[in-house]
Amino acid sequence: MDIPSGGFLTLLGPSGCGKSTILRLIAGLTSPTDGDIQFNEGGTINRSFVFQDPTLLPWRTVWQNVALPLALRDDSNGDGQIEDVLKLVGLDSTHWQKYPRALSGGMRMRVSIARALVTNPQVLLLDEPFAALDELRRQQLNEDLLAIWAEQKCTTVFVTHNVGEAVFLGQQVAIMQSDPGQIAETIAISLSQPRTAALRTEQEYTELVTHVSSQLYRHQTNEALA
Amino acid sequence: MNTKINRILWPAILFIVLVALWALAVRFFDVKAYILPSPSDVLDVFVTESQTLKSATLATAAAAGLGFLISVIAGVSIAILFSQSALIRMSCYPYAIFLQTMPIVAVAPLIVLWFGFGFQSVTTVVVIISLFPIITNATTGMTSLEQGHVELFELYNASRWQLLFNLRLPNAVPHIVTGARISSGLAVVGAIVGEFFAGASDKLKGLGYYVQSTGLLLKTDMLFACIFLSAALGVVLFLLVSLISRGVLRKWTFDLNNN
Repeated sequence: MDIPSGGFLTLLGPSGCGKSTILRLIAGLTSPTDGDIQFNEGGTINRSFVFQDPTLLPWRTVWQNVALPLALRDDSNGDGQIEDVLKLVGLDSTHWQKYPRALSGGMRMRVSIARALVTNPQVLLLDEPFAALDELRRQQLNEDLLAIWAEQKCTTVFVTHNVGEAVFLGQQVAIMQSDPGQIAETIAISLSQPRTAALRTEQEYTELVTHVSSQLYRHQTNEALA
Repeated sequence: MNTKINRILWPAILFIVLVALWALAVRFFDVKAYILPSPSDVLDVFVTESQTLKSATLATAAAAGLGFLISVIAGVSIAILFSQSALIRMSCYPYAIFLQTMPIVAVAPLIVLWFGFGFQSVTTVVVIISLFPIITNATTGMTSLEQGHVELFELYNASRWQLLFNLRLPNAVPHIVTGARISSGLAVVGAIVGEFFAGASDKLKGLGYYVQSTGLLLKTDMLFACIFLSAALGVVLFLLVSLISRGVLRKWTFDLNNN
């Protein structure tokens, strides 16, 4: 599997096929038993990970949560950077001193994304970040994530089991199958950028969603028959 | 507001009723004062022995307070050590439980033998009895971390110290507070037991010493006053810890009103 620098790849597949494992391998949270992962830039790469849960520290304010990665790197000159990413994810200053418990699920996820972006990552990895949100919020965050990606230009890998989300976000959609977990097919999504909410009603998009859905289904069926 | 008044009003009414029943019972059954003194006898002691009782309460409060503080500091330190290695935790934990299950009344004479009569022995007894809840609760708080939080710190290659100060300790604060609330009550019990055995030589004799000596002398009214003050002291220490913890916990999601 190859991910172009600055690209947006979505990993699509059923539960238990190893989507998250691939993401964790790229993040370095899990070590590969075989094979390896290479980055174009070589050396150590700046990676960020957005977990399925926001994983905010409840005793830290929004601002302090976003500041955490910088604090762990003993980087004390990041105030401007923190402000930038908070604004980028759509959180204005009225929320900065709040504790996570005072925020909605969608807002918490925005804070979590801001925390991932604060270190200026070259690679951004997201593990079903919007799975727990309602459809309307999920769509809104999808649009916002694309805008953020367009601005940050970081290589992004997004894991999901939602076909519509995978097509809307990805430049490529990699379909996975389980037993053994592997990438069955990678489909290029040639929808033009920037993509906005209006895209969801366009024929080109709905046709792609149908195509990806049937491919996803076909790969799972093949494996079930085998 | 209404419930707040009720919470004070109803216990107060019950108190008055019980004291009245007590007074009536003593008079009606003509109970001897050394078996059960009447409420007015006890009240008299509070007046006539006020100096003694005041200094005794202060002495006990000092031993309980100091021992409690040592317990919190030592307990959290031990928990930090425990949190650093499962091996240390496994090796030491049975002995921490041992500390808890030892009957303190049996150990206290031994403490006197080692540390002599006086304040230092009393404080040692307090530490022994109030240390365990802090250790267990703080250890739980420092080791029961959310997987996602741990991975977050791994992702940024956080050091052992960064993990301790930014995740383990803050995560343990609500647990430490719970442990401290339990220990605060035990600390006063420890001080009384300590003084019972070791308190005779101090210039400022504590409540535990008077519990022992007045019991032997059948000065039951004085004994009642000492018991009452001991319990009240425990309540005060408990409330003090609760008050402080409420301020500390404002940042955390825990709500103490539910306990």
